Amino acid sequence: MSTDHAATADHHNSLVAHQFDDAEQQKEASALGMWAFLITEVLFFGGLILAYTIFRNAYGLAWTAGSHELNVALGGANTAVLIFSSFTMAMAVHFAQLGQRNKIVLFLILTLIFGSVFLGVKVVEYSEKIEHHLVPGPNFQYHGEFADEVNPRNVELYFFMYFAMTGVHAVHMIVGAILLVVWLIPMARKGRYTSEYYAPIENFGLYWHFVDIVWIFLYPLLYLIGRHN
Amino acid sequence: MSDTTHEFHPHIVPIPVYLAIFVALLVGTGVTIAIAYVDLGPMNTLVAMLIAFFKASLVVLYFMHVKYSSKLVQLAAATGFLWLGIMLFFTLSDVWTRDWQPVPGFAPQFVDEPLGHGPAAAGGHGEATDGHGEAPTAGGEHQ
Repeated sequence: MSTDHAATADHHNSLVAHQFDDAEQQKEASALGMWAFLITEVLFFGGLILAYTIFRNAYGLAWTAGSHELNVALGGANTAVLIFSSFTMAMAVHFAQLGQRNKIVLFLILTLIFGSVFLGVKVVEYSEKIEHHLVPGPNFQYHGEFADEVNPRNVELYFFMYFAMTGVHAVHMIVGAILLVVWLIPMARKGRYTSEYYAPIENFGLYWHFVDIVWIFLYPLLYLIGRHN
Repeated sequence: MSDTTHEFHPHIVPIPVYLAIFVALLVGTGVTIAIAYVDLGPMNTLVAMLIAFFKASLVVLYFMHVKYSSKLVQLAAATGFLWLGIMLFFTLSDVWTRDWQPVPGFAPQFVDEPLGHGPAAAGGHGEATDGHGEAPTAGGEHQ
């Protein structure tokens, strides 16, 4: 604080909070904080995948039976949609680094659209499961191609894991879409983000890509079991 | 902003790199689906997970900029996956090396049918198949 002119200049610069030496240190701190959060998310979804693995090891045929009730084409299309949205998100960060406001807004909106398409397809898939009585609970029934060989209670357990994993993933997508609508897109339109200050977009990008990664694992784990049978 | 020495210059990844990663991710998805229809025995899951891991690495390194981040961020990101590995490895090494007690209502298939095998011998499968599987028999059967 003493007499350093550069430090004084930064104190007058509203883009750098006064506890940081400079913009670079501030950006580093926010990235590190975001990664700390994402690590908790890795372990959160990791716990679900662990439960899935233990159950699948125990009830393998039921997992195949449950997986065969899912729609490979819709799930695959959704995987592609999510990869598209990750790409548009990466482009939004790219243009934030360059400080090109209109392109930031454009790619954030594209990200929102692809995210919404994903959720829309998920609604179609969930409603199919509801119609086919594949939601765990008193109305659960399994009459699929493995009905003679498998205990329906075990298939019900598969669908419990299916709804838990895809449901929590979808909640993350919904949170992301809400943040885009109420926060990032309006602020980007106001020109809040420049090549000097775009940490919110960068950190939101980290979150969005993480959610994409989760789906990259969920898709083969849930949709593609024993498809060669 | 007036002080140019304090501006920072992040590594800006060129758009063609993003496009290449994007295409690689789509191709990886296609390969994952195609391979699922080929019978590799127990290797199917392993191959699918290896491809998924490869795709996830591309996203982390390029889309999430970890390749261009500071050592501190790289260490933090790597540590997260280290903890995940610890959780998976030590839990599964326990689960896979012990006998399980059957759970009432879920039991019949579990005992006879390890991962990836077809319908195992056991005529016991059909017993609890009334659609709800409340199956008091299954509970009694194992006690």
